[in-house]
Amino acid sequence: MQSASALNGSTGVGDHPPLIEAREVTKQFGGLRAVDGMSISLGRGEMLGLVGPNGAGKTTLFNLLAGSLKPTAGTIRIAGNDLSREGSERRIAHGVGRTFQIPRPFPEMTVLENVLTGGRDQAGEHIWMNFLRPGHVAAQERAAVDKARQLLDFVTLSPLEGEPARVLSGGQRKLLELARILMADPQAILLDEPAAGVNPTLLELIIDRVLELNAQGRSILLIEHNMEMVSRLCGRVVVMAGGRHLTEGPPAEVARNPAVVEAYLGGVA
Amino acid sequence: MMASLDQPVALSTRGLVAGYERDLPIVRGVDFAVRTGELVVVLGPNGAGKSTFVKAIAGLVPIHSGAASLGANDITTVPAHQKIRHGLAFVPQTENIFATLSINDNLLLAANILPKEKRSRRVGDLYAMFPDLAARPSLRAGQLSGGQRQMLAVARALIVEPSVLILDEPSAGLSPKIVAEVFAKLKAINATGVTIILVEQNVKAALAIADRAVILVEGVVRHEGPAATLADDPVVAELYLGVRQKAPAA
Repeated sequence: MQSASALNGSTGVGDHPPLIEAREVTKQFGGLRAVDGMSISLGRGEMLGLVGPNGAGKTTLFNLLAGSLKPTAGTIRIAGNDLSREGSERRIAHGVGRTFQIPRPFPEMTVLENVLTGGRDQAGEHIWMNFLRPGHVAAQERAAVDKARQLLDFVTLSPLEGEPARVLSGGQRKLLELARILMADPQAILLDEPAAGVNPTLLELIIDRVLELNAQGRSILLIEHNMEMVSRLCGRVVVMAGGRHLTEGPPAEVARNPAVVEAYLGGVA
Repeated sequence: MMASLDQPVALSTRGLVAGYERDLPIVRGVDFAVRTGELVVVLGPNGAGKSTFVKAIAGLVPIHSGAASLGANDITTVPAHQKIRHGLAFVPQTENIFATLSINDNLLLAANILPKEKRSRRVGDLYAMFPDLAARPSLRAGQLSGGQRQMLAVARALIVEPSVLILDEPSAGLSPKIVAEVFAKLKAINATGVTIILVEQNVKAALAIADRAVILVEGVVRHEGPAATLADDPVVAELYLGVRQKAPAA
């Protein structure tokens, strides 16, 4: 099964601005320029792959797009809004959710409680609301629990909802993290190596869920070394090397690009 | 030093299965052998299991089944800290020196398992081999550049005169010029008779100094051969990128 964007090659841009657009973004760590004038855009409903050899700057770019890092230079727009200097909380509020290569759930909290931490704008977060409108707070909490349970069902973790998260395998932790970010209803989901360290059975499930999220209209940006997975999911792939945009195009095409081969085999300084 | 086929096997694995969790093996049945005096590079795309493979040999990752031997000795269950006494030295990718200690103290600490009378002589030997380190023995190791740190880590590993030296991505984070210097030093060490197993991402640079290469993909050996042949073999790019590089002949 392929994604809608893989089948029709659409970038999903249409008349709207891209959901995420980074222009000439640079991130400098001391003497190291991890991301160097990189531009990338994620269209609405698009499933875009981001690949490149080790040390290419992919995860740093992810951190910039998700707001975990602030760029040294360049602009990052989410749905047309310049959020270059805003942190991850503001990006989440604008519909950007991200997963990590190595998920770190709260180990002693239950699986359900972990998912609930992903909820936003809950009245109970404000202490006075608990006294002034306890009924409203309770109703919202019930709705959040219902939604978390639906999401656990979506990622097939319902049977484990009462277990502490520490009992989950690496692949199950990735599914839990996906459910947690879905609590905030992101329109763009940044997935950092969802296949890494996952057994083949769970990997198929993760691929299936990602396809389903894309079919719901959500945009997906995927960092992945598993090129087979990228080819199955993405209609377009961007290649980074040395912190820069090297090339982009359909996965099979870029994988045959001599410059890409050179970058992967150590030819790029 | 190019090892010939009649050299004895210095290190081997048979059906090695290893990983951090028993139900998710990263290395899935690897048969591997390196002959005395060879420099063999272990290549493969990210997540192939290269580092896990050598860490398992070094005793740092659990071996679930299969065996590892150093010469004729089975070292499968030998604890990591004992393997050095069997002649196996391992240089991890990171945290391979004591940053707050001086260069000299780093070397003396590594020499601690030698008999007392041999320690200062071996440190002197290593200074002769690494003149950059000899130039400022009291410098804190944390103040060294990335390339010099790797040299210190290699010097620490060599101090006990191992028969087999394993290095996990010594070029990581180094500039191409420094990578060339580190690799030239490894080649020189190999020329003294030390068998080297090198895990690398930098395919071209590693093939340039290796005798032979083994390519791991998803925890199994997918390809191997003489380094000179593999340098131009399109299969290497196919295995790295997961896509056929040339259309099959009609």
